[in-house]
Amino acid sequence: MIGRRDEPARSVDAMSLHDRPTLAELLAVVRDYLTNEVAVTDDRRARFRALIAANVLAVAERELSLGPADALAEDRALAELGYTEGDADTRRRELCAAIRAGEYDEPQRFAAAAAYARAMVLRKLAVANPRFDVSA
Amino acid sequence: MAGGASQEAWAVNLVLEPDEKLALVMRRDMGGVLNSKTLSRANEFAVIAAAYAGGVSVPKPYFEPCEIAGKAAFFMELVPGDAVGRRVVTDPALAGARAVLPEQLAAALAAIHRVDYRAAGLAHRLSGPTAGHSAVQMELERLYFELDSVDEAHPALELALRWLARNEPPRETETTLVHGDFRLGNVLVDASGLRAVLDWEFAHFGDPHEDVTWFCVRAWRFGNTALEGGGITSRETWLQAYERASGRTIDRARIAYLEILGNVKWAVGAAMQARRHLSGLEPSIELASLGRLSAEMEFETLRTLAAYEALERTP
Repeated sequence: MIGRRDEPARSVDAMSLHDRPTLAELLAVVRDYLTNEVAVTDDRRARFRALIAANVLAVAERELSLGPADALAEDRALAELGYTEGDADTRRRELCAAIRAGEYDEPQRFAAAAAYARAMVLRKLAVANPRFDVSA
Repeated sequence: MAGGASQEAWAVNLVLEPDEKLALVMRRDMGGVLNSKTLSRANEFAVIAAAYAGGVSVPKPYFEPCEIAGKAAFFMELVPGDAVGRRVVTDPALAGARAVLPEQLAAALAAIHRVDYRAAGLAHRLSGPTAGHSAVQMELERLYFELDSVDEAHPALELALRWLARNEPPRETETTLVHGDFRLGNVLVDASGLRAVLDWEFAHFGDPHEDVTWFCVRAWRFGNTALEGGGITSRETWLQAYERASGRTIDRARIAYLEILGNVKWAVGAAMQARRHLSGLEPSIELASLGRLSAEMEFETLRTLAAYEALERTP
């Protein structure tokens, strides 16, 4: 809370050794700078690129915030599919190889893999573009 | 002028004699490693010339392909208009254009598919299905290759590719010139409607249904998601306009299949664009950001796949 010296904000960032701005705040600082200063130009191409850059930082901020929960969720979902050995990338690749080899052709197995894939894609979208309409 | 990912476009004013001025565009390689997927400038010029001769709305090509400062280039007429997809789809000033665009675009696409590519000498310049392979098989083979080149795990795309390979439609009944990237964003539009079809570097020969479908892929609706015909009209209006202009009957199931394939193609394409930046080949914030866009196409891939399956199960 700003201004309340007796109740400091307790967050993951406050645990950091490093001074403020926090990691998330650093990203926001640059994003705001790009959006409010660099993008304010008559040069259409420069404005376009500055806004892309600002969006890239917004993605980074969301990943910082949601990433840990995403990793946990994927870990559980892969385990449910039977992939428990190795790091996340290894297990994901194993799943991909199994799909390619036809081990998920049977309708129920296909549906299970598709449900996993959809759940992970929704998490990717929450970070990459939360405004994307997933209501279909 | 804003160009593509690996070519640049320059506006050039040429004075031939005191009275004759030509407003041209020069398309030129940017240097660096060429994208093997796209046509060389010389082949792109040949396609545009064939399309122009075939009555397609394209900028008039000039001279012959050449080299400018050591880079392959060609010249074509500078056609006025706006090619930015999002603007064409949303600009209130272009509302009149949007009303006539579906018919105009359908007519242009039908004209593209009528070009006798063999007579125009394009058969050896463009790629297409080899003997014994269908266009879909070639596409799937290439997508697996490209996905492997990205070297990332994409379960959603693996599932879709596996399904596509196991549920191939019957082989295409005809092979025509195919634009390869026919959509808003690659056509010049002004208040009167379509002025010219651009960006021919993905031209090849194959199934004309491919072009008809690509126009409907969600990414190319530029936010007007409900208007499945390129963000400016309904899907059926688009399909029927093409049917009228081409004399073909479009197989809707084939379109539905190719739409899944189209989404996979752009998902893989976006990942590859990001790789161009990440590998150091072509540092670009736009290319880098495409790596995160992939998720949107993965979602749409899974959605169109589920929709197709639901349709199949409906008696």
